[in-house]
Order: sequence, then structure tokens, then C-alpha cells
Amino acid sequence: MDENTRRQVTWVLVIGAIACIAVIASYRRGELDRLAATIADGSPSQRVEAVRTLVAKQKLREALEDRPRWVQDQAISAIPLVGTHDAYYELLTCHDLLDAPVQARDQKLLTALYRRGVEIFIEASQDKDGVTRGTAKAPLTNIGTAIHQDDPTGPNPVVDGCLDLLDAWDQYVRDTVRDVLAVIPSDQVTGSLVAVMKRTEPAKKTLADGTIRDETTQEFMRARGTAEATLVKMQVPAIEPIIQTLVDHPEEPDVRATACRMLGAIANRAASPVVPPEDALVVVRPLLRRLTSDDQWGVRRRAATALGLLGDVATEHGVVPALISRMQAERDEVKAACAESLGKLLDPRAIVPLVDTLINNRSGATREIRLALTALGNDAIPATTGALASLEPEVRLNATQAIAQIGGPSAVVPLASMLKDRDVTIRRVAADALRDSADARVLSQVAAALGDSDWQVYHAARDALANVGTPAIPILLSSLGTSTPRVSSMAKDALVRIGEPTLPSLRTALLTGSEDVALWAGITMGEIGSGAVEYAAKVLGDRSGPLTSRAMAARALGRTGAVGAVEPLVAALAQQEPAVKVQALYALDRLAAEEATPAMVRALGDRSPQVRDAAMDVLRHWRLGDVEKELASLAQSGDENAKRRATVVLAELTAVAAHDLLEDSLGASLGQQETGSKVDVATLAAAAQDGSEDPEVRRRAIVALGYAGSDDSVAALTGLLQPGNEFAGHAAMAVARIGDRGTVEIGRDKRPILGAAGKQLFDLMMKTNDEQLKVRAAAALSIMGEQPVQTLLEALKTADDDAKVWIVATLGAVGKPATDPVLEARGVTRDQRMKQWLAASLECIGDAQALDLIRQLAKEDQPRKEDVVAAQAIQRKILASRE
Amino acid sequence: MSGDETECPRGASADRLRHRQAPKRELMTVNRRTTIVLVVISVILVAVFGITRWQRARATQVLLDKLAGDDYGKVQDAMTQLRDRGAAIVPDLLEKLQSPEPAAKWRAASLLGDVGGRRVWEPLMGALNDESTDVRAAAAVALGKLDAKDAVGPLASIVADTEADVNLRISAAEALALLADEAAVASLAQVLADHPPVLPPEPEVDPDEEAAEDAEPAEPPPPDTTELLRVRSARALGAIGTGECIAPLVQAAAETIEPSAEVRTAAAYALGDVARRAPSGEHGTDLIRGLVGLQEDTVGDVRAAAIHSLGFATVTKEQEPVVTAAIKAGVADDFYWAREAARKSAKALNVVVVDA
Repeated sequence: MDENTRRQVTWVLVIGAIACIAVIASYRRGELDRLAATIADGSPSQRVEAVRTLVAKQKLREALEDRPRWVQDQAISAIPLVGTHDAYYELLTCHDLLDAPVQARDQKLLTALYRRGVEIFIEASQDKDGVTRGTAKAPLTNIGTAIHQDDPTGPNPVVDGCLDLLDAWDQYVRDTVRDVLAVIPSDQVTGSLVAVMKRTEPAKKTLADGTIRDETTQEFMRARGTAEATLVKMQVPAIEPIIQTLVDHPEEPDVRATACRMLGAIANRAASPVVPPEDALVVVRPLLRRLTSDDQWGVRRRAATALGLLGDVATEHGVVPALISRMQAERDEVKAACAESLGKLLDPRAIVPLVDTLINNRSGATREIRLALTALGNDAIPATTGALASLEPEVRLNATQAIAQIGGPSAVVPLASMLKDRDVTIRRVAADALRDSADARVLSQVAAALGDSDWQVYHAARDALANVGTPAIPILLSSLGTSTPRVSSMAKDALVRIGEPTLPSLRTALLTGSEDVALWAGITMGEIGSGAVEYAAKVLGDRSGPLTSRAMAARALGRTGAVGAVEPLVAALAQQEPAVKVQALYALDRLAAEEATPAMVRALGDRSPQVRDAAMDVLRHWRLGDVEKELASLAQSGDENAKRRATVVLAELTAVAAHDLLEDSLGASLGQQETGSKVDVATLAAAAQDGSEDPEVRRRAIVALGYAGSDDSVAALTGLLQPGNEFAGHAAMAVARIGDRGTVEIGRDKRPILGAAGKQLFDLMMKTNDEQLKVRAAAALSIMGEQPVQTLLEALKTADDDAKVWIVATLGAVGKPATDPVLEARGVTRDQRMKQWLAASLECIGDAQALDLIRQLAKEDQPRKEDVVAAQAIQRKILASRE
Repeated sequence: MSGDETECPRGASADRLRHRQAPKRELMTVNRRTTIVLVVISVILVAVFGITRWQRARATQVLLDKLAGDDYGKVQDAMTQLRDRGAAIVPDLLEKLQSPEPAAKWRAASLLGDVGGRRVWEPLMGALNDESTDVRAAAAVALGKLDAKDAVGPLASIVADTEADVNLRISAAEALALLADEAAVASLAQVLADHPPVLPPEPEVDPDEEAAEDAEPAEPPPPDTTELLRVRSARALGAIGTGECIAPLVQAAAETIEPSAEVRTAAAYALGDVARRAPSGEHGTDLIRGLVGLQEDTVGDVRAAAIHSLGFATVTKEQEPVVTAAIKAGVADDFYWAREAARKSAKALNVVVVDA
């Protein structure tokens, strides 16, 4: 066979194999549909055959998924005719897929298997699949019950099978066993379970094949747990066997204790379903016997707990006195159980003993006593109030907690009395409880708690007063004027939460109160919001009212954030006293009302310097309306001071702001930006030089000149660069900014060199003896970037050592732009000392490149430590001054 | 023969002859060894086979012993393994059928139903008289599986025996369904006819009437213990499928006669099984009339089953209008599965319906 033929044959075989696989897969996919169709439409024998095939392939579940009702019905009907265990098991696995009526039918079919189905269902109850386990439970229960009814004394395979699974590893299996056995009330079941409960340690275990081995501890515990759960679920039929066999077990206290617990669980009046009272009554006597006479406290405790679950049955049959008696005479654990049970039984006879025990003998039962008193409710408050006066904080705390948890109107007064307690925890509990329950009876105590040192207490008091509402307004207003701002603030918060009902009172307080009261009343009104505008505007507009009241009313209007507040504020700017105008200006600033712009700009020309200052302060960031146009107009038409102020503000809004904005967004120096074209630099220069001008105006004019001025402006600033001049620092910075922004000359080595403005700063730094001025000049130079570096390096060659320290510090403050020029200078110089100074400069610059170089230098080239220390000290001053 | 051989001296010829005979002796020698090897292999095979059989027999015995156990997981494993051994274990199972242990007996009877043949009919029929209900029930089902026609009579008697355990009667009905013999029709019909009375509909109570509050609640009806028996009997009649089955099934499907919706549903499905056999004449007419009449049932499942069964009917020209009307009514039914069944049946019977 040649190569081609062999290859062709190989391909044919591969394709044939793939085709076969595809055909088989297709057939198998269609097989389920074909079998389902046979079940739906085939004859009875064909149906049985189809179901048998599905059972054999374990595909019944798959075949019945999403099938019509008749397919499900016919398949279920055919299962008994297949009649094998496997068929019934398959039916169990697909129970959840079936429609509800079909599920009911399959349960009936499975139950009809009677004894023959037991082994299937016992096996299925241990299946890994939850559906299978769940489906097996109902037929197993039905069959077990039916066998018991048919022959109550005969063997019951359901019971036998389930008893073998008492110690099953899987909790689901044990739950199934519990549910099945609990409804088969045979002596065999109760006897077997009670026998398990009587054991206190693992025993020998007989396996199904007859071999015997030691039971493990885990198996023993599981079996005991299942037996206990089953007996409890069984309820009435289990009571008698437990009483007869377990409760009075002479040797094992653990058995007696467990029996008490089981009896309590069975007769629990809150259980569902609840056992009839006559059956519950049966457990009372044995439990009381254990409570009063058992020599083991563990048993007595269980008995006490169990008795607490019996409700009316217990209270009507002498249980409460017994519990009270034991509570007062017992060890801690039993005492706690007695108290807990008394709380559950809700018998008022227990209140006084509980309080007495809390005061005198609470050890180990404090929590339970508190919970019991809480459960007893309003009836317990009078007696518990007595405990509030105890000298012991623990008693007071628990009594307070009990009353707090009981709550209601009768708890309010006792709780308010605890707001002054020495113990902060008690005060917290009382205040927290009063948060929602305080009323007019306790206003003074709660208001006093606003001054508490603990934040939880005064916040709770604030909330309590706010929740009381209108009745709390007078006392809150009185709290506004206290000397403690925090109390005033809390009172303000409460009043704000009460809201508009407080406004008439606040208006009165604004008009008649002290300065502090007026201040807080204004703040409160403002925070209440637009509803306060009417009241505040009336106070503001009444010129006959106190000045402080009007000023605070203006402030309140600003805090309301309401549009309606603008008009009265603008009016106040035109008519009122300076103090009111100042507050009106800040209020308008807060409101950010565009229509107020002309009035605010006009305020720059107000007669009062305070008002002018406030207007300047506010307008510095004001960009609403035609503010620039208004300012420009004022700069042309106002008096000299007003002109200057307008010019300064205009410069700040344009040149300075533009510079800051661009610098922020670009993150770089903007030396060559053209700014301040609209600003009258001459006015600024005049303001800067005029010694009679307002200092703040001068300062801001100098700063503005730095941004808006040119080289021509430097002359105006030079005069300020004098020792002792308060504006020297600002002037130096302004000069530096002008220099930095001016035309930059390029030196021979293609690096920028210092211009005229910068040279003045340099000369000032080198010549002045005033250290402060020196620092300012150096700081100004340092912000000019690379410009002063060459000049500084030249000076380093010739200056004395003191001046060199300043030069090195200035180079360090310049930072990274100085690194390359310093490195170049270091490479050129032959002077060893010069090299050290340059190395010190690099250390002061401190960037990675400079530090890396220093590490690699020879020892003799390293910077001298004293030079560096001295330079860095000066550098710190320079940088601080720059800030 | 070549000339060299004729010219060869006598002695040489004798040597050659010996030489020729040598391979023959070698062959004999090899054959003997081969024979020995073959014999040894055969003995080993026989021994292995024998040991295997012996072990299998012992294992079978162990499995048979487990049939009486109460470790249900092992019992089920044993039954599965015994079932896989097939007819070979029949004698052992027949022996177990005589065991004093009821559990072993009914499990043996159940296994005989899967692996037995005609020869176990008689022992199983004997087991129908066992003391244990479980054994009798298992024997009944086994006889059904084995198609034991001889058992129809006894099984029919069990089904009809109202004193017998109801679960046993259910097993007998299932066996009769497997046997599908018309001799059982009368007994099954008798079972269907023995049903609780249909309760009159509860009168509507006006909550405002004081008398209604004072009236004592009606006593609940006694539990219907034979409901599943009737269901299985109806199914068995469907499996028999002769014309005689129609009348009892129609009766069992009628809401005015049979109180249980489960039984009526099963009867409606069973009528479908009968319809597949295309009964003619009066039977056919009764069948169609019965199925069409079930459209009036108040339970949706019954209507769905009836309309589904109608799809298998052979409809004559005269019956066409009635059937078409019933299917069209089914398409408009307020029960989902009834509508679905109606659409399916319309397709099967070529009835044109228009969805609402």
C-alpha cells in the first residue's frame, strides 16, 4: 500500500469514527425523548418496559424533568409494575421534579409497599441527596405508624431501622430518625430511647453482622442527642417514661439533669405544638422534687430552668414560692436559674424578692435578676426604684438598666433621677433610655445633662429634649446663653430639630437676650432654614432694635441659605450701622447671591473702614455678576482709598487668581505668563508706597504688584526693602515674582542670569546686616528658579565664609534647578575649599542625583559638616519665610 | 522419485530412512509435551472453574443468608447481587421460600419474580397462602412479573377479598395489571364498584348567620382505605384493555359515582389504554361517550387525563362532531394541563383548533 492510499484510509477511518460517535451521541440524546414519548403514548406493557429501561440506566429523573402531567402520572403508575428496589429508589430521587398532585400519588404508592418498603426508605434516608432523604421520610413515617397501629406490641422494622441510625454521622439522617420515631409512640421506641438516655458513657456496640466493638465517644454523644431530641419531640408519650426512669435516677446526676431539661422542653408553654395543661401538670411535681431535694446543684439548676418554661401551669401550682425560696438560699448557678425562671413566669410575687436579692445577694445572678425584673414590666418599677439609692454602683446600674428596658411613662422620672449619678455608665444608660421617652416632667434634669462631661450623655440629652418638642423650647433657650459653648451648641441642635415652632421664641431671644444668647439664637435661626427668613428679616429691619440683635439677624439670614434673605441683607448694607453691615457682607458671601454684587462692591467705598475691610475680604474670591466691571468702575470714581481697594481686589481677582489657578493646574512656575493687563499698576504702586494707607491695603497692594507689576514697578518696591520695614518680606517676594516673570537674560553658558530686580535682591541679601531682611531676600531669590544660581556661584568664589553659608543655603532653597550648575562649577574649580562649599550646596539641595554624587566623593572632597549644619539652619529659615 | 535415490547404496538408504524418521520422532516428542501442557492447563482451568463455582456457591449462600438480616444496606446489596446471578440461584431461592423467616421468604419471592421461570409458578402460588402478608404480596407481584397465567384466578380472588389486607390486594391488582388477563375483569370491576359514597356538596355558609356559627362542624368522612386499591385496579383494567373493561372504568371515572379524584384520574388514563386497542361497535361508542362526559368533571387532572386518553380513540364519522366539540372545549379549559392535552389530542385526531 503506497503512502497516499494509507493516508486516505487513515482519514476515512478517523471520519468514520467521528461519525459513529456523533450518531451514538445523537441517539443517546434522543433516547430520553423517545422513552418519554413511549411512556406518554405507548401501551401499558410498553410503558413498563420504557420505565424499566430508564430505571436500569438511572435516567428516570432526567426523563421526567419538565414533562407534561400525563407523562409523570404514567411513569409513576408503571413503577410498581417494574417492582424492583431500584425502581422505587429511582422514584425517590425524582420526587422534587414532580408536580404537587403527582408527588402526593407517589407518596401513596411508596407507603403501600408497607414492610417491603422499609429497607428502601431506611437506605434512602441515608442518601447523600437531600431530595431522596426528604422523600423517604414521609412513607417511612406512614409505614412505621401503620405497622404500630396494626400490631402495637409486635416488632416494627421501621423502629429497628431508625434505632440503628441514632448515632448516624450525618445530622440530616439523625433529624429524619427523630422525626420518624417521634410519631411512633410505642413502648419499644420510648424504652429504647430511655435506655440510651440512661447511659452515661460509651458502651459496647453490636453491629448488624453480629460483631461487637467499643462505641466511640462521638457515637455515644450523637445517639444521646438524637434520643433526647426524639423524646422531646414525642412530647406526651415520653413524659411518663422520663419521669419513671430518668428523673429519679439514683446514681447519675447527669441523667437526672438531662431528664429535667427534657421535661421542661416537652412541657414548655411556648413550644409548638403545646402539650395540654393536664399533661404539663404531670411534670411539675417531679421537677419541684428535684429543685428542692436533689443533692446535686446541676440537677437543681436544670429543674429550676425547666420550671420556668411551664407558664401558668407552674404559677398555679406552687412553683413561684419554691423558686423564690431557692433563689434566696442557693448557690450562684441555681440562684441565677431561679431568677431567670421567675422572670419567665411573670408572677408579681417575685418582684420584691428579686429586688432584695439584687441588693443583698446578687452574686452570680445579677444579669438574670435584671432580665427578670425587666420581663416583669411596669409592676416592677416601684420596687426597682428603691434599688436606685443603693450605695453600690453595680446595684444602681442594674436597677437603672432594668427600668430603662421596661420603659414607658412610669420609668421616666426614676431614670431622670439617675442623670446626676456619680457613675458615668449609669448616666449613659439613663440618658439613652430617656432619648425617646423623656417628657415635660423631667425637662430640668435632662437640660442639666446637656452640661454633662460625657459625650454620650449630653448627646442623648440633646436628642431627648429635641424629641420632647415644643415644651422643651423655654429651657433650651435658657441653655443657649450658658457660659459653656458646648451646652449652647447642644441646645442649638435640639432647637434646630424642633424647627419652626421655635422661631417666635428665638426672635424674642434675639431681641431681648444677652449678646451670647443673641449669637446662638441667630445661629439657630439660620440653621432652621428658609422658615426663619421672615423672623430674622423683621429683626434686621427694625432699626429701633439692639445693634447686636440686628447683626445676629443678618448672620442668621446668611446661614439660612434662602434666596429670600438676599434682599433684606442688601438693604441693610445701604442703611445700617457698620457692625450690621459687616455681618450682612459675610452673610451675602455665604449666600453667594449674584444680585448682591453691586452693593458689595459699593461697600468698598463705605464710610467705615471696618466695612471696607470686610468688603475687601469678601470680594477677594467673589466672581459672581459683573464684579470686575463694578470694581473697575469704582477704581475710576471712588475716593483714593476706595480706588486702591478696588484696584487691589481687581488685581487679586485677575492677576493673582489667574497665576494661582494656572500654577495649580500646571504644577509649574509661570514666570513668563502675561497677567494683570487690566490692572492699574500705578495705583497699586502708589498704595504700596503710601505710608498713610491702611496697612492691610498696602500689604495686599504689594502682593498684587508682585503678580501684576513689571520691571518698572520694582522701584516702588525697592524702598520697602529696608531693615525694620514691616512690608519688606512681601516686597522682596513681589520683587522676586516680577524678576521671575520679567525678561530673562541668557549668559555665555546659555544659562539664565539674574535681571535687574533679582540683582537688587541679591545685593540686599549680601549687604544688609538685618538677618530678617536677609532671610526674606534669600527666600525671594530662591523662588526665582535658576535665575540667581550663576550669580550665587560667582559670589561663592569671592565672598567671606559667613556670606558663603548664606549663598549655600540659598542654593539649597532653590533646589533642583541649581543641581546641574553646581555640579558643573564643581567640575571646573581647582580650589579644594571651593569644592567643599559646592558639595555642601549639593547636600543642602538634597535631590537624589546630588546625594548620590556626594556618596561617591573622596573623603577630602566631602562637605564639611559644620558648613552643612550652618547652611541648613539658614535654609530652614528661608523656606519658612517662603511659606 | 529422483535417480539419485534409486542409485543410492543400501546402507545409505537405511540411514536416510532413519534420518527421515527422526523428525517424526521429534514431532512425537513435541506432541507429547504439548499434550502434557494442554492437560495441565486443562486441569488448572477445570480447577479454577471448580474453585470459582465453589466460591460462588459459598458467596451465594452468604448472600442468601443475608436475606433474613436487618442491615438494610447489606440486604439490598445481596438482593442486587443475587438478581445478577440469574436462574442459577432459583433452587436456593425456592429453598429460602420455605424459610421460617418472613423477611427471607418475601425477599426470596421477590427475587424469584426477577430470575425465575415457569417452574417457580407453583411454589409462588403456594406462597400466596403464606401466613405473612408481605410474603403473599411479594409472591403476587412475582407471579405478575413471571406472566403466570395460572395465577390469575387466585390473584383475582385476593383482589376481590374485602377481608384481605389492602396492601396485599394492591399487590394482587398490580400483578393482574402485568398479567393483563381478561379473566380478572370481573374481580377488578367489583373492586372499583366498592367505593365510599359520594358526599353531597357542602352548602354555602353565610358567615353572617348566627345559626351558621352555632352549627356543629360536620363529622369528617371515614378515611378511604381502598382508594389506592381502586386506582391500581383501574390501571389493571386498562392493561387488560378488552371491551368488558370499558363499563366499569366509565363508572369509576364518573364524578357522580366515584368520590375519589385519584381513582377517576386513573380510570380516565385506563380508558386511554383501552382506546389504543380500538374497540368497535357499542364498546367504542361507550368509550367515546364516557371520555367526552369526563370533560364535565370538576377536577382538572381528571379532565386532562380524559382528554389525553381521547387522543388514542378511533373516532367514527358519527362520533366526530362530539369528539371535536370536546377537544375544542378542552383547548379552552381553565386547567393548563387540560389545554395542553387537548392540543396534543387535536393533533393526533387531526382536529383543527384555534387557540384563544
